[in-house]
Amino acid sequence: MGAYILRRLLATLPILLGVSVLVFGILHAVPGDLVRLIAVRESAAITPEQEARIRHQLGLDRPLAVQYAGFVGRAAVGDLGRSFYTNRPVTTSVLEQYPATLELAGAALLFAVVVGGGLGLMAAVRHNTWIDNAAMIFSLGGLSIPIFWSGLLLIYLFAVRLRWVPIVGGLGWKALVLPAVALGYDAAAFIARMVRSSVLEVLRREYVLIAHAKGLSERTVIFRHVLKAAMIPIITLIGLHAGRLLGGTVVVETVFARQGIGRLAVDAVLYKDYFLVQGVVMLAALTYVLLNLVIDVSYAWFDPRIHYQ
Amino acid sequence: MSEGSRAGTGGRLTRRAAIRGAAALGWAAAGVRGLTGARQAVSAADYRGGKLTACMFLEPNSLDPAAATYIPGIVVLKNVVETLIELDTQGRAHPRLATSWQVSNGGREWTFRLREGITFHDGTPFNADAVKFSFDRILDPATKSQTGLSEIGTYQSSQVVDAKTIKMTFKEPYAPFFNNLHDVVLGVISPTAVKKYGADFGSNPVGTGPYRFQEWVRGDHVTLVRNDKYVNTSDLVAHKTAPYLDTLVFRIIMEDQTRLNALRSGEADFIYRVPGINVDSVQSDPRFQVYKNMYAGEPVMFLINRSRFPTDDVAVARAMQFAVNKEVVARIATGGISPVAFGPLKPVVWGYNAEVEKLYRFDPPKARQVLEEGGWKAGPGGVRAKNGQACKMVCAVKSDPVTVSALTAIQGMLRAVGIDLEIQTMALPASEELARQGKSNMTFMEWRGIDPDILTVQFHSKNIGGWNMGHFRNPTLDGLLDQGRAIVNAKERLPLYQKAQMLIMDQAATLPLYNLIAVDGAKASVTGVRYDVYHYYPEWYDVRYKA
Amino acid sequence: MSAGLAASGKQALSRPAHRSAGRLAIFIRRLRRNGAGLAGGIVVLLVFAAALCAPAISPYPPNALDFAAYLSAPAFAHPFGTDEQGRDVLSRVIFGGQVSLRVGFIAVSIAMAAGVALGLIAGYYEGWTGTFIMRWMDVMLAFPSILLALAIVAVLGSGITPLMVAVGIASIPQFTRVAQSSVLSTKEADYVQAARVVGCAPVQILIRHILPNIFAPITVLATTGVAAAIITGAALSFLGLGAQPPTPEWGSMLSNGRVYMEKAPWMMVFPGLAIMVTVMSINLFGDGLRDALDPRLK
Repeated sequence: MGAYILRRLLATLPILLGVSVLVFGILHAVPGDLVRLIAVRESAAITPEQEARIRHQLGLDRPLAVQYAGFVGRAAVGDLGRSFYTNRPVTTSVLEQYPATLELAGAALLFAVVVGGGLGLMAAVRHNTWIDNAAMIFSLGGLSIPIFWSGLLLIYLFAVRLRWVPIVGGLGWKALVLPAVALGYDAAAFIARMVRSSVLEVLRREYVLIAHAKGLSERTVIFRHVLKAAMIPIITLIGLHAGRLLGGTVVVETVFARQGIGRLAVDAVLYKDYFLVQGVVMLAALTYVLLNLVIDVSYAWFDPRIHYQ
Repeated sequence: MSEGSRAGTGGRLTRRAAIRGAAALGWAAAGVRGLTGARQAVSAADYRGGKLTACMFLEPNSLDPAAATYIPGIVVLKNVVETLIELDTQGRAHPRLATSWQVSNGGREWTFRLREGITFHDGTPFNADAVKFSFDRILDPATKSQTGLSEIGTYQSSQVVDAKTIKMTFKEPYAPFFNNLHDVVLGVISPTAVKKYGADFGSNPVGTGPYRFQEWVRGDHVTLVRNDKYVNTSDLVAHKTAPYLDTLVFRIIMEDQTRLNALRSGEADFIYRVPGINVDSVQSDPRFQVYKNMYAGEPVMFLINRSRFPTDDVAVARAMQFAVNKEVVARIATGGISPVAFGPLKPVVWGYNAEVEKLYRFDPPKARQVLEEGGWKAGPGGVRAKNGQACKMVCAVKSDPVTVSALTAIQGMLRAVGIDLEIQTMALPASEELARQGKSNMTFMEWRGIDPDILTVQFHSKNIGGWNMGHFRNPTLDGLLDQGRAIVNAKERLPLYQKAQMLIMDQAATLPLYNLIAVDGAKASVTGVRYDVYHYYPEWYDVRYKA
Repeated sequence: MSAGLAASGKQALSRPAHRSAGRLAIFIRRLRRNGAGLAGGIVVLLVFAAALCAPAISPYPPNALDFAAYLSAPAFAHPFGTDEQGRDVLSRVIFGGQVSLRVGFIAVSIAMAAGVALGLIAGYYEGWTGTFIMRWMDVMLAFPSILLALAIVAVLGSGITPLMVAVGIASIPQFTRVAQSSVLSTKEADYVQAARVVGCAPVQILIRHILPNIFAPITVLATTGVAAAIITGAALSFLGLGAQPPTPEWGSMLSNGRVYMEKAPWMMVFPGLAIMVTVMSINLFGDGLRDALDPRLK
């Protein structure tokens, strides 16, 4: 297994390389003069000398390959340049916003697994009953209601009308509830569907029949076999959905005025703060790659049928 | 609508006329309280301590006074850093860090006697060296000063006469300088701290003010704590000790509705900028009070680029003045709270020329007539054209929904007279960059300042590529503005600025929309909120609040 | 549907004749059996019809300002109320459908054209070329699609066209993956081998023999892709990076409605409802389509 992890780690290297090319490309595809954009932060009137100095400082006067090598070299030690707007290191800005996003994504995932998993399980066990139908309608809604709308409706209902929960603030779990629900709804919908169908399959499978035959109670059957079987789609979906969740924070953080890298990304684009755009995109990709690595490895815990050669 | 406000190059010689003007027009310049009086006096009269959370509408770009460009940085810094002098609401100068002053050599030299026994938060003594350091530093390109640089004018250097005396030298007389000293961007900071933090001083400001800086969590809040050793240097306030509040938190919530909801849910005790559309409901709610201020400066307006097609044609620029129904724009943007504007200055600024109000009125047929006479004939799709070129213009604008709504209304009004306007939304600095490059026909503008010299910033040709985002070039105007800032005598200055305003409007270099009345909201139990001469943001020194 | 495609000169080689003959009938029968899918399809058609006939059925022009009707609540004259410019929300929702559907379809067309082409190549040339393409797709998949679209918008600028391109590019990898895996599974089929043996050029084999076989999964993916593209497009407009005023677009209407949440909730209710109904019916139709085209597809 150790060798597998190592090999899997090595396999992510080309992806990381590709990520770096893509991120590097963003900056170099920017229309208009990047230098002017930076220079204007320093003073209103830009002199040619100032432009030349900034061009040199950024290394834009060197060949593209050299620039790329420099970019990768610096990125490897966590230097992604400074924000045009705040003049702070991009890495610092991105990393200080990161915990808030992880907290939100984590809470959303928890909601999705508990609610989606629970509903999926119930729908499968009570197959073709009203519970099943309700769960599937819930799931259809999750796949069709845009996050920004559900977020607004939640705010309108619970914060503006009912005043149950505060709207702003990274303070405490209360402020996390609505954003997490808005963000986690579509993941919950996916999980509910997947868990339902995979549990249905397991329920029909032979060893469950045997377990029944052995006289175990239904509850035990569900917990021992079915729950374990349900974990596989959940884990797979966490991997598949990590990107969607991270992407969703872009919208949810804006709707709920939370801090985080999603919000930072939107601001960076609106501000045309390209180094910051690079930083956020890079971090999101790294998160996704690493998470999927962890998930691949964790399959082993839940499904001994998967072997690692 | 106020995100775009920056500290101006303001400063003025007498303020009385302005206040009188404002009062006559029925806007109480010192603020209208929704609820004051007995109830709050009982709850918090003698209370000390506690924490107050105030919500700002924008993130500061820097907490280095010299580099702070946008208002929120200045809002915070006013509590941390002090200035040499301060102006009362009548515009009279009072001592602060400087106890006395004198001007010599025809306005080219200012000498200040400094207060003794003051120390910065980090223990560094306040003296003439610190003043020289703070001012010289503004000229250093590495400081990246914009507002400070414009407010310091023709400042050349300082000479430390002795520890408590400093003499500042100017290349030429610069009339607004003395009053600009009230602005915290010309505040005095600790040289030791600048050396210690270097480029990060902007995240670790150290001054002599009533509150000490504690932390700045980007995108979320700035926290200040009481400076227990503070000795009040202001004679505008009765108490001389440290401020009442233990902690002052400035939260940053850019979305108007979210900020308002923070006040309603109790998460915020004070919010800057209650959205215009919601002012009435906050005002009528007994839990809250509101402060309405028409702060001094320029109205909310769109600079018209007079160097770019088709607004380079004065007929188009003038037609726009007739085509736009400002009442409607003001209602959409401010819920009808702010009165419409006619000139490049607010009526509360000294030197305001009411004659501008007679130039243009909402009159679409007149707009069409002006276009017809200018050679703009009706073309396909209702868009006028001249010499085969359609009357199409673009406006790069900040993506804030209220500004975009107002501009959308303007778009419709212009369309009705045959002008096609394309709106491009982006962040404020990005839109400003396009405007600097002359790629926008209209540029959102709003400027804070108490001296009419702020017109130099937006309309003098030397600032093209800078804050003259309308690329307005008029030698007569340049002459008037240059003359105006070099003359110290108010009576001689006045006619110059009166002419300047008429000239700007005659050339239609700007489309003034409304004189923004900024509305701040607070819990009813907050007391002691006092606005300064700009009427822009409260001082927190006197504030008491019991949660 | 695939009958037309299969009616080529090499039909005998491509697959047994009976497969194409009865397929359409089977497909329709299966779709009819799936009530939800059919209902979804009907609603999609209605949304389409409404968008196409917008000028005829809208009570008002979408950008007609009427400042006297500032923030009017829903009433007979304005069934969905008006916005802060006095514009009729119903008319804007109807016209908004044009924009959203255009974004959805053009973005998916871009993604499908590029994605399928890359997938076919990657599947057919399994060696270095295939690996290179698929690695690139892995790289693109490592970015959350909305972030990738955001980054592309950062480069291209705001507006509907950059938006469609951005959303399209961001959805390429899914199409590539599906196409590539379908190619891999059909490549070794007898009729493909036979075509190769009789000396058909690779392009011919790809287009005539392999493409028709990946038709089903790609159609299903494209259908749900349209729904996803509509949501992503609306999200970017909501964030202020897509449609520019006064374009009636559901996402930007919602963003605008946020300001008036308290005074005029109808401004944020109806555009959101429009997105939900459209996306939900496309998804239902997509599910039905999947079952009808090939019940084994999941």
